Amino acid sequence: MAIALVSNGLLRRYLDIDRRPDALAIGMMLFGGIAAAIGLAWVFHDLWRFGHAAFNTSSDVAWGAPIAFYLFFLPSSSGPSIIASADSVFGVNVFHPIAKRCVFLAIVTLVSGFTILALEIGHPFRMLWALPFGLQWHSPMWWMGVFYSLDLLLLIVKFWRMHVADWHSRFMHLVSIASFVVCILAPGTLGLVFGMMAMRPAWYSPVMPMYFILSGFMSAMAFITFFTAFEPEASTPPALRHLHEVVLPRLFFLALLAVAGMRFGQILTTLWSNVEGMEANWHVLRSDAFRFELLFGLVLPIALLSTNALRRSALVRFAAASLAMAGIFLARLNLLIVGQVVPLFKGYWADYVDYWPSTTEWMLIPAGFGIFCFAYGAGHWLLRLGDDPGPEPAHEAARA
Amino acid sequence: MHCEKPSCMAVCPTGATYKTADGVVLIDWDRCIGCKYCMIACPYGVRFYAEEKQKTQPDIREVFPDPTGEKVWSPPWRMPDHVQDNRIGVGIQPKNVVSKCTFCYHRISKAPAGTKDLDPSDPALREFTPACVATCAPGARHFGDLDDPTSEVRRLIAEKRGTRLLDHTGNRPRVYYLAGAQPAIPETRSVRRSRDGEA
Repeated sequence: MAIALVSNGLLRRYLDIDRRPDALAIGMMLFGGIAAAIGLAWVFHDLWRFGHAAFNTSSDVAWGAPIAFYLFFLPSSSGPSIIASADSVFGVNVFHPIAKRCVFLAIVTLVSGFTILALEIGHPFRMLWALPFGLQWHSPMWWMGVFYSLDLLLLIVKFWRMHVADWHSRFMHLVSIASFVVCILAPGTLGLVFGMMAMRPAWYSPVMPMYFILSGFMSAMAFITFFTAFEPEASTPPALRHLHEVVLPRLFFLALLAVAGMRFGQILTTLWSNVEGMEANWHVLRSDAFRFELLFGLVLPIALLSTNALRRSALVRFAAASLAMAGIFLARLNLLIVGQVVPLFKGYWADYVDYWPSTTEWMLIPAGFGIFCFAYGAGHWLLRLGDDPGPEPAHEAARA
Repeated sequence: MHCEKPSCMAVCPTGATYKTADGVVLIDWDRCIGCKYCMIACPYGVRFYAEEKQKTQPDIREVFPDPTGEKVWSPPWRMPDHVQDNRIGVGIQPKNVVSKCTFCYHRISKAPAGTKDLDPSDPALREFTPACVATCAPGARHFGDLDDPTSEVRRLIAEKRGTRLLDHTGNRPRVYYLAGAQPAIPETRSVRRSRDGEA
């Protein structure tokens, strides 16, 4: 009984369980719960019945769509982290009203990505001890594990301090700076996982880490725009509305332009190369997935967000964000395919490898996105994500 | 290919892939997490993950399933169970790990110390010779100590134009192809482009 009372008190202290969930929270939890249940049940059943042979991956295409989903989620967590650290690192406090929401968004994005990784990898539980104790400092994947684990840890600490209204302490300031550094390093090392592979010329590039950081930021902007488009305009404070309608869409637009420019340069340079293995780029360029990535994932969102008037429309922002999210997912899939479609060494007498994800692999989308939506909806309901710390006391004192 | 500078070992995040003191590259199946990064990094595509759809039916793994559920299958003609050694990746492959050629490490590691060449025609050495060398009917495969300048394999590489594949990757494999009078070794990987309507 005593334990129940204590836990009840603790629950009420940190969670708004007495508050009625709004339509957004109910909708997201309902949709997320159903999608996650269906997706996870499907994937677990197939993995139990067929093992990882349920995926269409092979010894030629070792990394398939599950890795693309995971690449979709993980780098996307950096964008919200950068925005939430803008105050401590750059002294920009315009993002304060969405800072806590961004930290939570980054956490649930990472958790969704890690869940998909756990379903893709052969021995996820073995990974928990073999990775830290392996100390393979020469492996980019090991560093990726280190930085993403640190990233998650720092984000949880940061969210916790925000939740107990500690926004401006020195400790919080240091955590924010550390979080900013790690959230840049993490997608950077993820880019290195591909960019350092000299034996796969279509991936080998020193620019790959920057591409992952930039495209991760872009997809994060898409995530944030997607969710803020649901906020009811009437009850939104003017400062927050300005953020939703002006600042964030402009950042999103700029990020889209940067990614489009980078992708354009990447495509041009690869098409000019005669190095064997680079012909894979032509193969991908002729695919429907690439056309969708280019037209619906980059060109159309850029057009939709190109003017102030368009950016003010919640529907347009929502459409641009949805398209960009679908586009970046296909960009990740195209990236995976381009590096593996020419079989290593066997290419001489073989043909392009046929690969298209199996139903089990596709079902990872509702699984991952369902977890993401459910967790975000629950956070929106219980964790006061709209908390705004107001101006820093020191700044106020200086002004006075 | 048991490279001098194995990229598969460099990228392995857990240290499951390692090189022995005598230069053989092996996988510790008990440490492998099945991330498949080594398969991505091996320029020769000679690492395998058994969990994939079979191209022919019936699926032989389902015909001979492993009763413990730990291994990929349990073929009736397998080597004696006591030879199974997960630490060197020898035996029936467990589920969800990557496998590769071990140079039959369970055999070569027991060869008498100082043996320069493992010649399967020598009855005293046959049981220590890698299976692919011992069973090659025309005797086209040879196994020996590359570090010993007087070994037979060193002589063959010198006299028969021993060539390493994809040498530009810098992996420096320890498997050589004896080109002899052949004009070329298939070391390029240009894809047939007919499917895309190219010449």
